[in-house]
Amino acid sequence: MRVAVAIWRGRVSPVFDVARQVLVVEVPWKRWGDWTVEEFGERSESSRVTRLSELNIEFLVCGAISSPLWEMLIDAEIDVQPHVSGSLSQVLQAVADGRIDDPIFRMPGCVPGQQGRRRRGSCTNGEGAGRPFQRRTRRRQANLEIETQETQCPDTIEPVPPDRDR
Amino acid sequence: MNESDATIILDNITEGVFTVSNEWRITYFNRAAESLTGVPRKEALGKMCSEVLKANICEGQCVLRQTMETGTSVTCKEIFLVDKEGHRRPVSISTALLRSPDGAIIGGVETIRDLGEVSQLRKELHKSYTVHDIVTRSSRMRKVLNNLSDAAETDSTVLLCGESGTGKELAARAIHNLSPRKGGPFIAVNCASLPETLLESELFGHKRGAFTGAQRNKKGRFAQANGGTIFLDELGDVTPAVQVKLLRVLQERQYYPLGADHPEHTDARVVAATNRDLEEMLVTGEFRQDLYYRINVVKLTLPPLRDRRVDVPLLIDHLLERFNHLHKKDVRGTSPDFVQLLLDYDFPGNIRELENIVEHAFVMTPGPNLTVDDLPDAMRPSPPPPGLDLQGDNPLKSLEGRIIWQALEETHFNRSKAAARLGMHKATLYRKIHSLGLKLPTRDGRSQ
Repeated sequence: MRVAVAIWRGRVSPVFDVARQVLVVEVPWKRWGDWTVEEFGERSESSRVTRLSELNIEFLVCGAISSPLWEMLIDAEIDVQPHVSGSLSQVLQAVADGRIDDPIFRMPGCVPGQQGRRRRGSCTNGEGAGRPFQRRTRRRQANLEIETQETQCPDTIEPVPPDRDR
Repeated sequence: MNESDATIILDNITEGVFTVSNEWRITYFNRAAESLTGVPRKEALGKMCSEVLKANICEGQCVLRQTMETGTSVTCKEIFLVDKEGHRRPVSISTALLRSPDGAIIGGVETIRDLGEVSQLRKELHKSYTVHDIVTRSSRMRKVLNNLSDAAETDSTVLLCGESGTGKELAARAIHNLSPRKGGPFIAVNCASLPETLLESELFGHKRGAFTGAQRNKKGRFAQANGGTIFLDELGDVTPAVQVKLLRVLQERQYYPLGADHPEHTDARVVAATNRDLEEMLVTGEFRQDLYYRINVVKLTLPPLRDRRVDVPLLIDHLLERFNHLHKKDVRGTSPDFVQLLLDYDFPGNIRELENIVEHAFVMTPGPNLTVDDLPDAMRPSPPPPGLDLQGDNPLKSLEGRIIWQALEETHFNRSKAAARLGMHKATLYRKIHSLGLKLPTRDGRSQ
């Protein structure tokens, strides 16, 4: 499965609507580091969705996202796990392990059970959005466990030039 | 003033205030910041400020970073945050450095001011709408919006079709505001509102002396829209003579102002709209085929509201928020039967009609929630037939009772006529009246 993670300074980009880089990785990966970084720059919303479709992305991991953009991704049949925060190495490992919907990866203010209404684009919906991927990932769990045992994540990875974290 | 006094003061101001360390971790977060970001203080403290604020400028144009690096404060920078609901929330931020008593930089402070109300008023004033202002969850409408975004990036002519009140002008403005021409003018012309001669002068302008009363040169709408977008609303209503001139503009990007010897060039993008069936007008000869093919480059059809009922509750919420901002009221929500009644309605006037209904209810409501009593008289449900138990848990029975009662009323309670109207035998009608417990008046149609 092809997965995209919106990235910024070695972490998940805080807002996908303006994210400038997306890391594209095939899960399960054959070798740690076997990914490419796609430059999004200042692409418009629709061209972000078009590009992800061209890259055959099936699952997007990102930070905050506006609901119209999320709706467009759903129309393009791209599953979205929004409101994710954390270092890229940890997030990638969680994607591989099928536990990206774990509350420890939620952005502040998006801890499950704290919001009232469920609406697409809201924090709580992220939980649901992750499920299809989780199911698919778990089907591949046996193979993945064997492969990831030898390729445990280092503490940090820097796919973009290192800079002071904000 | 001690620290706890400062905390009390900061917690009681309407502006959000937070501070960060040199490592960009939140070190202080006031109550207004909690409300603006939707992040509780205890969750925000110690977290990266970009992941708490979720602003469009965090990546690349962070003003706090700029302040920390240059020492220069930034005031009233307008940005947007993406809130918990996925809405873009307009705010203005200001930044300053935090220094220790010995002058060393120990972090930064940022204040946030909500611009929701200002932004709403600006939108009303400048009509600067984008797809983010088109509220929808309907898959049909989302498809239209996707196509709209794609079309906006090009310079192609767009034809917007749809019934009156479906939001064609809003869509046209969204196309303009998403296009590379957004810095240019957006000129809207309602082609149905002007007679032929005036429309021609309005669109193309005229030269001095072109006709009696033309005392000076006048720029037309095409000239005004240069570098931007011209929106030709109600295009289906233009006369054949104006159709010929529009065809020339679209083909050659040139037109003759009235009374001019030389053509003028136009660089306006054309977005046209109509609620008429242009294809049928081609058959009847009311609309030129060559103009139709020039206009119909990208055709987007906006669905009527009755085909996107899923959007009715969303639109009601959106309108409430807008009216609260505009009328300085605090109407918090709606009663379930209010929404249900609107969900069952067909809205021949589409979103414009829904807007009017909600505004009527908004103005009339005495309480914090809109109820069916606040609706216009014509929208209010008729009183239930006497004897019919609406509290029961069988909605079909209730509906059947209403329909039977309506037929009886229309026939002045003549059972035979009512049964015939309902397509049932008189005996069946009697049985249903009895089983539903309807209480008929003593006088009936036979006694008239």
